[in-house]
Amino acid sequence: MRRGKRMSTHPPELNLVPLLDMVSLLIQLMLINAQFGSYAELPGSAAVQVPGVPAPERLSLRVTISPEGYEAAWLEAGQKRSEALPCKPTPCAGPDTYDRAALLTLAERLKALAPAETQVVLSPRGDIVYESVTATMDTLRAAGSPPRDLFPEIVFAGGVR
Amino acid sequence: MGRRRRSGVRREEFPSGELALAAMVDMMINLLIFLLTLYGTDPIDVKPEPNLLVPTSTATRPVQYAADLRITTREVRVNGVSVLQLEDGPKGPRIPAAALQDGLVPALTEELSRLAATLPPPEDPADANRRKVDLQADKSISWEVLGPVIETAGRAGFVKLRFVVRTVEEGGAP
Repeated sequence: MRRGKRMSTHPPELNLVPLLDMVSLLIQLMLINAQFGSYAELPGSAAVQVPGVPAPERLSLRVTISPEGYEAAWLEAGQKRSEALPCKPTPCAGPDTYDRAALLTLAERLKALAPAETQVVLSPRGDIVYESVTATMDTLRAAGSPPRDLFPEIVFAGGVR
Repeated sequence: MGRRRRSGVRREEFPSGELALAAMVDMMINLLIFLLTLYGTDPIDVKPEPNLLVPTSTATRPVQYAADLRITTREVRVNGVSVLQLEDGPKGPRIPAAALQDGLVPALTEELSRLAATLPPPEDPADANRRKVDLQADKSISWEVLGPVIETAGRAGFVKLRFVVRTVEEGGAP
């Protein structure tokens, strides 16, 4: 005569090991594909149109980045003006040696002169590194905290024909 | 005899041989939630590569999805397709003279034109030749490389450039 099985009074334990296996695999996969640090975009545009004759009321600001530093040229009351902002020391040894503080001061002065102007033409020379270009874009597009726009519309002169 | 006694004492110190899995599951779930929050924030895939270290900026405008143009210290890629191998020059990587034609890169024009044909037409027909491109370039790349690439992209209708940068706080802290 068979005896009936005795029922356990303890609740059944959940087997967590497969769940743990799965989660650890998922974590490994996510760690491989994770993107640490945040990224942003700096807008600009390639100038491919034939530039028209600048209107006298426009500032027509153009900043040249060369191994000697910055050179800014603009129109003020119809007169062509320019200012050189050399690196210290010259020639520029890297992106940090460009006088960005002087460029910012000039940009703020020109913005006060033409508040409606938003465009600046950037003209980097051949051997300028990309980091120097983005640092210049950063200086010219906005200033202050919270940031207020200076010349957010950045056009690269390389494509002008 | 003495050994037996010592081992008996050890068993009393560690009465249970079971792992505390519940605590480990808790920890892993927290880690999983943290990793999940990292996902889905950026529409484009920006992965650090040894030959592609993007510059830093205080810009905060989120990266929008667009055609993907990458310039590493070794090559130029469009949406993962290598279109141009760079060569070593005295001042860093440069475009081989044979790959340039009137200041443009024909191989890049060809690939971008092919890409433009596969993209949906813009809502405003006037924007047909004003497409966007996400440009990821190594910070050490010179304008000798970037200039022709940007000009070629512009001529191929990818006029709106979006320079991908790594965001830092004002003052340089990442």
